[in-house]
Amino acid sequence: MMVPSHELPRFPMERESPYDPPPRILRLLLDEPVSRVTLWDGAEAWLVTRYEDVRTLLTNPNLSADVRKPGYPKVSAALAHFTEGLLNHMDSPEHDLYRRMLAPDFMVKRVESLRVDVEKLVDDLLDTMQAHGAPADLVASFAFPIPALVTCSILGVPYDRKDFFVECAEAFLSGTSTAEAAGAAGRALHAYLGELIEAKKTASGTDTLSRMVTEHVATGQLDETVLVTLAELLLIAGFDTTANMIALGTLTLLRHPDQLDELKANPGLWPGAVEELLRYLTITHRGRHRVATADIQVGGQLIRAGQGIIAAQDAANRDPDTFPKPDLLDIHREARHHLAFGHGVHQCIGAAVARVELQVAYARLFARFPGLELAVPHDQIRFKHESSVYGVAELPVRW
Amino acid sequence: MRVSVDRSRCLGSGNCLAWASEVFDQSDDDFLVVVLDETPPEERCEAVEQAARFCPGQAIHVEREK
Repeated sequence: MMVPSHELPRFPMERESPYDPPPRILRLLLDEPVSRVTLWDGAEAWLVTRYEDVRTLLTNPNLSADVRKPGYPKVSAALAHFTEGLLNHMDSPEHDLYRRMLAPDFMVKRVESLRVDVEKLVDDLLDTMQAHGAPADLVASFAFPIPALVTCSILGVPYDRKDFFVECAEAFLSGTSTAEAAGAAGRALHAYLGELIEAKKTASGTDTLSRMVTEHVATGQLDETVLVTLAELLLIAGFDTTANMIALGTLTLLRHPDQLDELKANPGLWPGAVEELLRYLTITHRGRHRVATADIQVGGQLIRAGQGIIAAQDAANRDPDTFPKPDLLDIHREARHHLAFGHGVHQCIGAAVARVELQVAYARLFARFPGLELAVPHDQIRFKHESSVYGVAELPVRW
Repeated sequence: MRVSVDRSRCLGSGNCLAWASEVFDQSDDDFLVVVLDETPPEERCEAVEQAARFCPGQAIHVEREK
């Protein structure tokens, strides 16, 4: 029997510990792994929480990521505004076509060659922090500039427009923005990227936008307006996520001093630690959102065509059947199969870039400042519960 | 184990290389997957299965020999 909707849990749910998913979602993972929830706008959706269910669900071809389709679960007012054809809201085969065009710049073996550049820019940021002296806000002086510089360089966006992008990305992605504010930020970003792409036609470089213009726009395979939305998504997706992982990951490591000491003594442990932090923190804490395009079965539950589904990666990454003692951070755990980057065709295209950024950022930070510590009491740190990408607003540190 | 790929499903992410670079590569021409070793040795089978499981386009097919 269907439970009346006023008794259904409301998604997103509230955290108790800033480092763990909400207790209610973890209870659902154990008790009712495919369950009904209500959203801010009164709509209902399915919430899928088990690791194996989330993994198989996200490769199911009978799902759409198209936000315009009836039944698509809009988990916040700001997300409700996404009506344009961003790559993460496109379906196959259209999605696959564009993704293949972008892929060469994001493939694992090419991204590894970025590592030296990332090391250089991270070291430059640490030089500046050292010159200014402690205390410093790690978010503003380190966590944010790294992905900003890396993404701007991959795409060929001039660094002097960074502040403009910060504002737009914040307004566009913050779960607390009104639909109007999110829409205005999206339009400002859109207009600027159009100008930038226009400029690439005459001053071509080795960056992704230049390559896309030369190889795909000039040959008539790619519409310029589509390239604008592709660039928009790559920028937003590359900024907020990596920055939040750098700051929140650093804070998490400071709260696990024994494991941090091991990492300082043995830098070869960093790649494994990065995977475990990605799993443990799962900052993409609003899940992946889909609407069923045909009746499907998920974990033994029938989901009807037209019903909305939230695949909760944060819960799935705490599934004890896949990760024993899931609520413990353990840098020695084999965690690379976590779902923090999503799964299936929409799996994060920038995952390899993010891994390099995180490995370099943490390792260099703690190598430069082995005595790094919080400069304020822990209870003064503000966690961004309301944002679609989780993290800390500021992280005052000294060394 | 026998490994095959459906290149029409490959999205060129190269995740398979991260799992098993001895078995998979990406073409320098179209950046899509190529199989280097269609019958990988036993010790690589688990990594190859992970590559198949986590392939974004689900382009890798693995057949375990009886």
